[in-house]
Amino acid sequence: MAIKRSKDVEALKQQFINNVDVDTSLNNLTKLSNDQLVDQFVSISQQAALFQGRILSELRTRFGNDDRKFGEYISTTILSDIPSHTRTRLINLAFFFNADRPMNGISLSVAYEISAPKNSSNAIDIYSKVVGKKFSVVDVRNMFKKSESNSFSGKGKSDVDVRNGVKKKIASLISGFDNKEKIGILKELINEIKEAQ
Amino acid sequence: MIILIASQKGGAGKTTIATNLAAKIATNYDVLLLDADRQPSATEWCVERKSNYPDRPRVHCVQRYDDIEDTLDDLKDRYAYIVVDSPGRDSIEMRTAMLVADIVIIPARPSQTDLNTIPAVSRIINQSKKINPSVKIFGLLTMASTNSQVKEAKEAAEFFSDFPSIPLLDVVISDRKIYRDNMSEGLSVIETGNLSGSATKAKEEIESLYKEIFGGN
Repeated sequence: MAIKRSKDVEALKQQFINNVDVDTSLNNLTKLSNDQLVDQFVSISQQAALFQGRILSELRTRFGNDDRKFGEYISTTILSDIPSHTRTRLINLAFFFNADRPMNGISLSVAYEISAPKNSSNAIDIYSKVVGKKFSVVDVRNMFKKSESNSFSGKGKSDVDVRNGVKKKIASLISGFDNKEKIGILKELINEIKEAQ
Repeated sequence: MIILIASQKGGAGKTTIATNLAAKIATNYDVLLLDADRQPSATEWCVERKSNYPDRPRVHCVQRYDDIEDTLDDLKDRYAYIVVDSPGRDSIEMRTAMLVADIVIIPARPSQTDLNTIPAVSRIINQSKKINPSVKIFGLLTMASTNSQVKEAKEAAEFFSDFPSIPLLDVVISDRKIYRDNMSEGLSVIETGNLSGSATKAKEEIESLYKEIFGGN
């Protein structure tokens, strides 16, 4: 057996390291196909969003329950360029996705949908159905709608949790209106139900 | 001694194995957990552990990326054991750690998508052995179903027999909630106060893993 000299070992090492699969490396983008470039873009976007969410989450915890102080601080930094709803989405994303729930195969838009607080009651179930598969955000929204309607149907009317869930859902649907308009909408709804009887 | 946990696919339980093994080693030895994954779950585990359980055996933790060969070469004289959690893909981190590792553990779920990566991993291992011939390689089935009716683990073991460069460990790590719960707490399953049957079995799995790798030392 030929004895390897140190420079041969170094060359062998370098060759071994350089042989990193180009499919999963950013070392040489020119060697990637269009599809591989898209995959890399998605992967990097996911990583960036998760890190941004974790950073924002850490920052937010430093202000305790004081939303105002947090907002004031943000307004003095470059983070004020990021719309507040985007910051919230990133924090929710980082809260939901972790080592136990990786974003494998899940697009960012789907990940935002799954991690949204409004979907929290069915999020883990839907996550387990979509992880590793390429579902569109429209499909995932429909899955949430379906599971919500399933969870409300077939339950006793006296089920307090179900009633609270329905109230929460209605409240979230009308949250964009002021109180006067909210009451108006609810009154109209009550009248429609009475008329239907 | 450097122990690398490596696979070509995410979600195989690398971090779970790395953290549980590191905590087990820490009961007797000075151990460093080197997180080479940019999704730094092992580091998060360390942070939780330090914050929630400062009195537990200390697992030192550092994050290093890209070429980590020199870092490992330097640190191996300062710690009795170094456990490396590498990214879930073929990466510079994984390859450079392979060059200096004493033991490489390749976790894989008994699923077709995970097993499909084994031929490529086997090729990489064979290449690395030209430079680091003394490295010991072990395959490890993870996240196996606890349902005895599901025979995936047995089928996966048969699959591994086609790859003699990756001898499969006898122990199989099952898919148990206790692993996930302890991960987020910064604990190992061997340290949990949970006395359920599942927790006991998880402890046995990690103890068996340790014994099988280190021969009961």
